[in-house]
Amino acid sequence: MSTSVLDSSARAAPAPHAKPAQPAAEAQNAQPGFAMPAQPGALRLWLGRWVVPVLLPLALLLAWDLAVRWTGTMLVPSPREVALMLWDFAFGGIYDDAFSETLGTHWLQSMARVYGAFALATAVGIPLGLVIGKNAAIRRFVDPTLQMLRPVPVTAWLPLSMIFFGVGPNAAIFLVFLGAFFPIVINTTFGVKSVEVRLFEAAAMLGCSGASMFRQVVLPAALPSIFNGLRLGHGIAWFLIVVGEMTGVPEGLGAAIMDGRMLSRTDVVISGMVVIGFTGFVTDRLLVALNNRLLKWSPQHNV
Amino acid sequence: MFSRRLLLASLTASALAASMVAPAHAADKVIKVGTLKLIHGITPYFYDRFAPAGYKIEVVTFDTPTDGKNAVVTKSVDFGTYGLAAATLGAAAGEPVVIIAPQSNGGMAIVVHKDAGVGNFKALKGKRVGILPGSTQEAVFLDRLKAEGMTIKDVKSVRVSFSEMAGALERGDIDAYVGAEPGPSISVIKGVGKVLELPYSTPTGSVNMVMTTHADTVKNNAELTKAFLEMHRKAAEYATANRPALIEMAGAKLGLPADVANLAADNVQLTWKIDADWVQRGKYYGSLMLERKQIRKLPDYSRFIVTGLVPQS
Repeated sequence: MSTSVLDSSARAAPAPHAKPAQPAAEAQNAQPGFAMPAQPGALRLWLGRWVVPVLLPLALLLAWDLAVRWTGTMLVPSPREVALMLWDFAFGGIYDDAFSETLGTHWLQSMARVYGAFALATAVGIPLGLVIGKNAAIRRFVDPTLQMLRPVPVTAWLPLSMIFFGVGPNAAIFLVFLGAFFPIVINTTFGVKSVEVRLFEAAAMLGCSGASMFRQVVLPAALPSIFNGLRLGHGIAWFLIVVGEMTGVPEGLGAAIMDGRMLSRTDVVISGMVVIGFTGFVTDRLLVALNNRLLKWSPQHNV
Repeated sequence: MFSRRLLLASLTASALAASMVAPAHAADKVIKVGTLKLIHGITPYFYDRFAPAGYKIEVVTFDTPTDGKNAVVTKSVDFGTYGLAAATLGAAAGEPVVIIAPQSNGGMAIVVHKDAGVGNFKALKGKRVGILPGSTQEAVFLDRLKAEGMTIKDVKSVRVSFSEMAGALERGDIDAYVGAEPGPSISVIKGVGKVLELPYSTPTGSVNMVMTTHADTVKNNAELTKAFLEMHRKAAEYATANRPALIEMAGAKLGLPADVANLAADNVQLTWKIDADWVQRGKYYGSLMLERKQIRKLPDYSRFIVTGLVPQS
């Protein structure tokens, strides 16, 4: 059975409300002055989709460039200098220094660490969150400890993680795991706890029980919350990689940023930030796409 | 009520006392001095004893040498001390940072784990060596490698901050490190490591930390800079001549046990004199950084190193 109980109920739910809504809308349209807004033209749609989102970044770039020019600061490079650095970082041929042509290596290392740790946090966090949310006895057993550990800043774990895993990438992976784990587990727990009791009753009436109840009711109903947790955890994973790669890690975007900081190479620091921001944005869009695909039965949870 | 009256009376008295005392403090101008939490950066903690009349000293600590340099360039502090490397990086990029005096020489050591089987410099080949990029120690180590016919590729370099080097060696994460005091003394006192060498045989010698300020301070406030340097001289001479005071200050400000501070102090020369030899070594150091592409051009040394303001006595 591929369709879940929740799927069918959720699809069926809006139907009774849809019909009475239509005549009301028509009645409104019939009154003078209450006409439906005209559909936007293709050009306007295109502008809204592709041009509007880049206006703010362009304005910020311009403001950055002007601020550097006006203040004459040597501490912050201009956007042009950062663009040159990014090119040299990726393909070399401009500065021919320790950072030239190394972006690929740094990027791959950081990607492997971030997504390895994120996958691990997902693999542990979602099942644990589902169990904590569903089982009150386990919740009472685990939740207080979890809530006690959660406020501890992940950066405070840095010295301890270096003792556990030694100086190097494993400490970074542990930090990223820890950072991503808490939002995932807590959002999953919240998602499970928020499932309406009536859904369980309806599913039980249809003969659903045990593991099938979990798979077909609990999991789909908790999915919006799980995805919130995944998106939060994903963002935290990226910003913790810089902390994690501060010590003993020779390659990685965080390591390059730290080296840039030590060597007063702010162009390297900003280039690393740009790459992290762009990669984080693209992978967040992938998460959103997955969210929209898995939750297509629930339009209000499409992002 | 008695307690309420007492509270009101205390508050009034405190307010009156504060209003009478405040003008005396307000007359004191504050000089902000930045330093690193290292024993060879300890001189600023002695400044208060020798502060010019009408001035108070506020010491600010940095995490890294580059943070220190940035604090000076952004005028977050009036004067700042850190390694020559960070100062050269800034000046080479055209930042308005100037060296007004040396702060300390020495304070470096190449330390190896006692079980690493490293008896001489060449035996570092293939070993994991903790190095802090952008530090004076890194540049000196690269020069030592060159002198031995080796390159950085002959060792496995691991980025570790100075404060974490002794711990990383103890845990066995690295086989050796090019450290700054008190790390080496901690490793030796704990029996974890031994000093392979004090890397002062290169043309850079033992040159390490410098006292810097913003170019505007020298230009617009030469008298203050002179008074500051006079205080710097007195503080450096006092701390050098009074080992117990130095040990006590290292304990109070850096949290160092007396035995570690005492051993570390043997490897540090607090200084203030800027002479032709020192300037020559500083310039050589800049040429090394250029050769290694750490900087894109040499600083303008006629502006970068200001020699005329240091006390002559």
